[in-house]
Amino acid sequence: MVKLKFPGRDEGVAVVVDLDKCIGCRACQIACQEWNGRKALNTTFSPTFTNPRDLHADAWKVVFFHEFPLSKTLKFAEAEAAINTVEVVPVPYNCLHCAEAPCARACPVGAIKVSPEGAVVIEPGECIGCGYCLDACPYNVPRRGSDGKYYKCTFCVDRIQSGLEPACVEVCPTNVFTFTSMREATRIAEDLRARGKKVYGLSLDGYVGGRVRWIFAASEDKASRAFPAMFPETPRNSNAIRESLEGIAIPGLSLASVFALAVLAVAWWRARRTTSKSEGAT
Amino acid sequence: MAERDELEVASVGYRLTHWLNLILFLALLITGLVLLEIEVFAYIIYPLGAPIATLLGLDPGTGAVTAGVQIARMLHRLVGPLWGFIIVVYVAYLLVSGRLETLRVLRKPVGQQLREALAIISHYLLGRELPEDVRKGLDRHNVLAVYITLLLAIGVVLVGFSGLAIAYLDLTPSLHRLMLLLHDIGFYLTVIFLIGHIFATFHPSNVILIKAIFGDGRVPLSWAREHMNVYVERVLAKR
Repeated sequence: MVKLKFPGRDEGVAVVVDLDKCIGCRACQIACQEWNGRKALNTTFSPTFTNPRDLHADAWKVVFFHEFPLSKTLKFAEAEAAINTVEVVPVPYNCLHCAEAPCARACPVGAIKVSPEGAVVIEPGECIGCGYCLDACPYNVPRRGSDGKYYKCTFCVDRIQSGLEPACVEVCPTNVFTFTSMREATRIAEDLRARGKKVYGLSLDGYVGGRVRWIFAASEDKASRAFPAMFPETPRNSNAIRESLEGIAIPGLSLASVFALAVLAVAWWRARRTTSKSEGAT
Repeated sequence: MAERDELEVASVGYRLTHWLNLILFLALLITGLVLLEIEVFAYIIYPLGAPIATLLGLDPGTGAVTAGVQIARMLHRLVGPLWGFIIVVYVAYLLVSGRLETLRVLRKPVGQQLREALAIISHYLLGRELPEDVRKGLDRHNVLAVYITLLLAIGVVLVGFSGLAIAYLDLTPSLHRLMLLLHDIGFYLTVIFLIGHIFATFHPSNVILIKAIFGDGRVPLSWAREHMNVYVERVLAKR
């Protein structure tokens, strides 16, 4: 009645995000909001360029700006000039579409569907607003909307299934995103890694199915600044304990019930036999 | 049978509370199982959701599950606090009136408790007779029953406070996660109690108790002397 099937490890689609190409223009953020018909959010001042400050039920893709102080030395023919500046690493961020999405496993109504392409999509008509998806997500992605339902990036599954690229991918002026098959994305990411870049998303914890479909790559310098804040090395949370416990408790308690019934049946059989024997003796 | 040949083991209040426990816990169990593991237990909620899905013009498959689970979730949130309230009131009453018989057994030396527990286990599983000294030392609740009741108490406390926190507090995602985990652990402990409780009461040597709890609350004095001798002596001494 409610069954979940994830595409195979190398099946479906994926996106390689090369952060070294990102100029932080936020065109992807706007394209996402526009294509998905999300309303504009009131902006607020924040200490960074990140706006809105976090993912939101109406902002499924947000470019996070990681800022860090940087000292540079400019060398001239007769002198050197040291300048202190601020380096900015923009990270266009959305649901990573885990290979075996914990949110989909956790949804008690099966409202989170996984398309054959691997897109993990919350069906708003079926969402009951319990928040189990947010509990399960190691990246804290799904967000509760004003209608009580949860929302997140759909991987533009409607576009993908019409032969188009996701809106954010299509609009990017610097080709940060490479939308392709999972197999090809893996090859590209491995290639980037071989060229000295840090890659996130290919060798992850089994809780998310070992990999995600939005694979991030960045030069060592940028990755060391941005990755620790955005991407946990071991993407799992206490919901993993819940899942493990459930895997033990439900079959275990069912077996215990069956065992108890069997012992009861034997006890009743013996009691009746004893009664009939004693009646026979009298 | 004359009244003096019988002993009341379940007062009206006790039986009423037991009925309420039975109904409310069953409601919580059914609605909770659906929320816990929909892939296994969807069939439970489908009959409830199907007519509502039809009325609302939803898809008869997925719409029925969604409607059913939403109702289950609402019921779970309403019944849980009600059940918790009844338990708190009842336990408070037992404590105030000095009728909390359950913990009395724990005053026995640990060695004696373990001997009693092992004797009862081998009686239940292997059909062995209880040793005479163990039989004579049995109180209103035996040691094994008290142990699993303690498990129940821990379980109820866990499901109680975590359930209230989940339903009525604005928790951060990490706290919400933790509360759900504690809720699950409490639930499993409660189910362990339930299996033990149902097993013990349906055992041929205790089946008279079922008649008492769902009947007039009385058991034959001769049966009571065999199963709760210390309690019988205490009650008779008060008369």
